[in-house]
Amino acid sequence: MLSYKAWLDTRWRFLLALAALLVSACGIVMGFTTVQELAASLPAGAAVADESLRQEIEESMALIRTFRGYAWSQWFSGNLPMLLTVVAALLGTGSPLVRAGSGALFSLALPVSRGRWIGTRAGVGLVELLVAALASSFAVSAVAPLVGQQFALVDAIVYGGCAFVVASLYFGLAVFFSTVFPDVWRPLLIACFAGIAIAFVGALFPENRGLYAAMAGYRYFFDGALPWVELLISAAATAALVYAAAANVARRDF
Amino acid sequence: MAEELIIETADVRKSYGSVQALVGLDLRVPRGAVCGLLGRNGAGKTTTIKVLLGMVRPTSGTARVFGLSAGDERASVEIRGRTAFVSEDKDLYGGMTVGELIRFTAPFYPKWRADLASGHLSQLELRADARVNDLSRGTRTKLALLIALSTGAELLILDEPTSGLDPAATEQVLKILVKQAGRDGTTVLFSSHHLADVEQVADRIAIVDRGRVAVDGALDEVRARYKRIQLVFDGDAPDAAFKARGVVATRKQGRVLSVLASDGERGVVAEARALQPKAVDVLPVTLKEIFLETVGVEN
Repeated sequence: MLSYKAWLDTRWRFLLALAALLVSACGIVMGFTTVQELAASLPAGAAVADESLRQEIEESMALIRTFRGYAWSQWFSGNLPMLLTVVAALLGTGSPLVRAGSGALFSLALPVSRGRWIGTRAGVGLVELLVAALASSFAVSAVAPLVGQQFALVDAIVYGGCAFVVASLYFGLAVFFSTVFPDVWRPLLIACFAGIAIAFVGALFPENRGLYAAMAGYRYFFDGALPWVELLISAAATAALVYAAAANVARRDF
Repeated sequence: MAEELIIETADVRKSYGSVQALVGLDLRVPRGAVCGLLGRNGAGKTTTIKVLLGMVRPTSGTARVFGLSAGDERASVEIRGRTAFVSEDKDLYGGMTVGELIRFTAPFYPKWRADLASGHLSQLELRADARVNDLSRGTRTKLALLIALSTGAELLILDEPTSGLDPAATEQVLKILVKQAGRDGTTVLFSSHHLADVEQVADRIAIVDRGRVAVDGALDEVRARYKRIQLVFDGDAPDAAFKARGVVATRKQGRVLSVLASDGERGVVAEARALQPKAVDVLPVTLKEIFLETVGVEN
């Protein structure tokens, strides 16, 4: 029943987020043909004075020449990490015991421990986040034949999985701050700002390192390897944040 | 044999920063009692209720319900499994319909009474398909009470249960409450500002004032214990400080000196005779008078 309540609380957010992710993923796949036509029309070896910029342009052009490279650069390392960060923050906000006007006292009066409330809510949110990450990744494989291409389902699962595990960190942040603030806006903004900060910090690391690169499946695309360290850090941090949220709720007065 | 106490608090204190909400609260409610918790706004009624339900942890002191410590997380879950609660603001799940909320709540209570839930649904004229957010405050109150009464709980804790109800609905709800408590032996603790409601249904009262229980006991005993001794003088009443036990308040108005005593009238009357009044009358007092004098409001 607690899961049902958590689902009722988050279903519209989840469905809207899922729709936005699916539309964005499908839109990118459907744009492949147009991008190929545009790329073909560009003159080869454009005159760019800056060597590093020229190299970057050439690398980007090389990536989008194959559907695998196009899908990864545009969706899995482009829109998906950004959108999933916002979705994770959105799904994590609004603690069932703290948010004003949400029947918090009614919940607290039920014979259920506070830890179970937070745990169930976090569990349902994480399942929703996983569905959102995987469904939008599957969409790439599912829609690719419409533009005469293939995208391996296993790759879609790996990219979606990496994005999910790192995004769960932002979800955990939102869950934790939702037990600190009674509104939904502050936890949402803090989690989103954390996502932006981590992306900026990621720019300081070598290209294939850092949480943002892990979320984008950078190493898997280039080397076929999984970013285990980053994934473990994210999973551990998420668990710690949810635990901290439960501990915070357990010690406070209502 | 000593009566079994369902609620027992001893020297419970609760501070929020510099604000002291409870200052040594001692409350005892025996099994089967219908206890009215009275007090002014901010007296500590809601904090008391929250301490009993484990929503607020006391700074010191002990609070036990069914003999279990209310401050212990695990025991608190068991207490809440045997207790139904209606909060002051009747804050329910707005996104659910009445029927969904009833179906949601039922599995949490092993002794849930589906027969009572459906009976009260029609009796209180609630529509199962109505969204909780669309209900008026009064109807939400009825729904909260319906759920509480259907849990099969041994203890009902109701914070301002009749707030937002019109007089007819108040009467209806109180009758249902009394009937159920009488039939099932349910213990009821309810806070209210409506003294008439308390007099109608309660067999015990506890007046909470500034974070402590100022008056506590069976309603009839309290009424019998409290007396107003009215002294009438020929001229202006004298300033008098009574030494007799249980003098709650003394008030002088022209030729009349009025004393409220909480421990019988004998001691006060004996002392009053020494003042040589023209007349001494011992009058019964209403719950309202006891309440107002206890909380220090000029009647």
